[in-house]
Amino acid sequence: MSPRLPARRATNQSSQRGTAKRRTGAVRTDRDGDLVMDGAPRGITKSRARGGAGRDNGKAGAKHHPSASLKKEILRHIGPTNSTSRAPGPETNKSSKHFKITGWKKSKAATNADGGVAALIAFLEKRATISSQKYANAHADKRKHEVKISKSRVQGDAFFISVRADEAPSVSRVNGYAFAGANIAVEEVAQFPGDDLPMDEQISANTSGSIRELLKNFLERRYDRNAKLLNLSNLEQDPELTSLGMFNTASTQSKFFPALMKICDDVFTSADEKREFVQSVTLSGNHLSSIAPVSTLAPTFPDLKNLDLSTNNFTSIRGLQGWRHKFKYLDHLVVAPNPFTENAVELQNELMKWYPRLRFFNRSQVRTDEDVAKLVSPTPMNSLLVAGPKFQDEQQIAENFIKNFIFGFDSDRNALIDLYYDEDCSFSYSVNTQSLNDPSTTQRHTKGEWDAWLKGSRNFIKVTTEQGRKVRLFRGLGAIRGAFNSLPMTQHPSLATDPQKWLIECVSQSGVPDPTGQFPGGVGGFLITLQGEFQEVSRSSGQTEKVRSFERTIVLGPGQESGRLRAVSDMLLVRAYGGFAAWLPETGGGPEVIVAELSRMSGMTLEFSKQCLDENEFNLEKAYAAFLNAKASLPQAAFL
Amino acid sequence: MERPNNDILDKQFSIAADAAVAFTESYYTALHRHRDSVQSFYVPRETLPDGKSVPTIMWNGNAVEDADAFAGMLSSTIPYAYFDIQNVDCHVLHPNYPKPPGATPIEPEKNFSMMVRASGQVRVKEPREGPLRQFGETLVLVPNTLGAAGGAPKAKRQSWLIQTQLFRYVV
Repeated sequence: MSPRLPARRATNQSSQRGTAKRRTGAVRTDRDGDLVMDGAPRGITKSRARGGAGRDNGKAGAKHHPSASLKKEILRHIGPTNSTSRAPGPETNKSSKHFKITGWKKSKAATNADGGVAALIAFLEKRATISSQKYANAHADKRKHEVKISKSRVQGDAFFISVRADEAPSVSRVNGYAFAGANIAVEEVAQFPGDDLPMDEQISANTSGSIRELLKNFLERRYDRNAKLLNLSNLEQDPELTSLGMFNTASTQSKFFPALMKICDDVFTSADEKREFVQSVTLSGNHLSSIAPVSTLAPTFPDLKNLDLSTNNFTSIRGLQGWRHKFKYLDHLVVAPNPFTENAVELQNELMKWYPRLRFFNRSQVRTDEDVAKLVSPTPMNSLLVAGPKFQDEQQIAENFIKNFIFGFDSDRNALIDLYYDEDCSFSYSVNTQSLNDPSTTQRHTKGEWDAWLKGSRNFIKVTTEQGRKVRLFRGLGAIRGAFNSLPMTQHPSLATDPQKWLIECVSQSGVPDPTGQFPGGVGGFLITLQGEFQEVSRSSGQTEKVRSFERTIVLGPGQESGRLRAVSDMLLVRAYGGFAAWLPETGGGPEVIVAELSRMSGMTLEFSKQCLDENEFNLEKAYAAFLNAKASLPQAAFL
Repeated sequence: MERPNNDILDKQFSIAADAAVAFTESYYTALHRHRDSVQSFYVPRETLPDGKSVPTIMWNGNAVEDADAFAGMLSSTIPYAYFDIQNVDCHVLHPNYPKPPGATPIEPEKNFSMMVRASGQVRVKEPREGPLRQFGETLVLVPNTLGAAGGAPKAKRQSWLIQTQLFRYVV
């Protein structure tokens, strides 16, 4: 008796065949346990639905002779060809023409996840359509000509396509075009590869009627419930798989494993179930030189604890590269024996780096539990929630500078320059006219609104000449003074009363130039980033203009005289008003973090902040909005 | 300070601008679809003589320890990110960047650290449908003096490495 899969997904024992649980639609099973969908039309178009668990099963004779549509379905998922039908209609259309495309592997698109196939198809169709349309226009043909590739397939470096015969000349004209940086050759061929083989020889029809169910049976045979082990070793020696012709060609083999993983996804439906029921997988004895054919194991069982890759053909750790950063919880990895060229120590060290929780490597312990605990939690990563500002000041140097700086920039820029700049300081500004707006803003874009900023905008994406970049860099007191006094006036919100409108961060920065020459290698300083907004005030009219958002980075270092500071580097970016919601901390931290954040934003005591959050579902944004509403009526004691 | 002469400074400004554009282009492309190479863009983790450690990486207020942790964080929390860079600007920071002993010599016009600021949009989670965010990022880049000892094959070796990084969603 083979081990059973988890009970609630038990299979139909009388027929020794699993019955897939349909997610939707009226479903019943016929006497053989095959799925039949009531009233579903049968045919290619119906079974083209991608990724669905269902299949279109011709009822009559289905048991021994899969219907044509079923066969196509099988072919599409796990059959020996990887040709893809992209349009309805008979695939062996006598009026089709076939082409072979080469040279596309050298394109930039070849590094895409799909090897660039999707991009290539889109490119060929578009180019051929343009050509076809041009030809038609030239011949006063008003009809719409759209070239569609009906069938395609990758075979080595060649990409084969089929198109309607009347579209063939347009496709031929794509020959020599550059596709993503590579010239491609397009030549007509007599036959689409694989078409010469009768379908029946491509898959030896198996008595059980469905490859899907065969795979399910296979899975059941290979699953050891007690050990929570999925044994996928020596696949090629499996008599049932061999009888299916599963390993006749490289392409069949490449389809087999993803199909099996799909079945696993159907059987173990949640991450919890997978974690619970499949803790170990062995892929031993499969002639693997790279994990590419079995890479889908990682997304299917991401929490795997034990993995056995022994007795394969891995010659380099590069063959495992695709699983770097996968299997975060891997506890035991077996890779020996394999013909690795790296020495054993090297290999072990590298793989231990990849898998921080790995305790056992090739059956010997390489880390203790304590080692693992230390490694995986040096700094809790907080996932990627937006966190409050990091401000690593020393003796309030940066804080005092920022207060002075913002005040000075609004009220007296000349004095600011005298205080914080010298001949070796650099300033530049740029405007990003394409940035996203605050969706709730009532400000509308007006023509020429950026004129005051655009002339000197130092954006390398737009200003590409050496001279253009040079004149927009303001270096030294005179140049910076000129720039500051040509920019519109500004009115920044108060740091004290509107702290939520600011996001200011500060980290230490080494290697900041020392103007005294005492430390030629540079000294410690601060890198300060300011994110916020200001009211623009026209220099000519004194009128208040729009509210702008800005980002500014300043490298702060020591000045020439002892006790002085200077803004060694000052870079300003201005853009349309974008609000301040982006940097409100996301409430993934503990409650005390959120309370502290509200307190920082509102100036309320921790106690009042907590009360306010309690009344607002502990939602920071809501609580802050409530605070703003109630601000005027709050007692003095509410504030710090 | 040994201040390079104005000719060299002028060359540095020009080289820095080109390097900033090239670096941001390949770095944000790596974050999009060459995740394996992300680590190669960072200085190795190291404690400097003043007791401070590099690199400094702040991602939306989260301190990230080093390049490996950053790559790990990316793969676990942002499996997809496509960056559209709208603005790049850069200043030379230290015009005569100190070389560690034994480092491969660099011509004076290339031996500087620089501050780069990028502004743009990033689409996360999934192509086309994923949420689009405006971001701002400051990078301090230093010349890669690791030379052949850097380990990476020459083709994969970056000329510049990130020493400090502050990234923020801004809209």
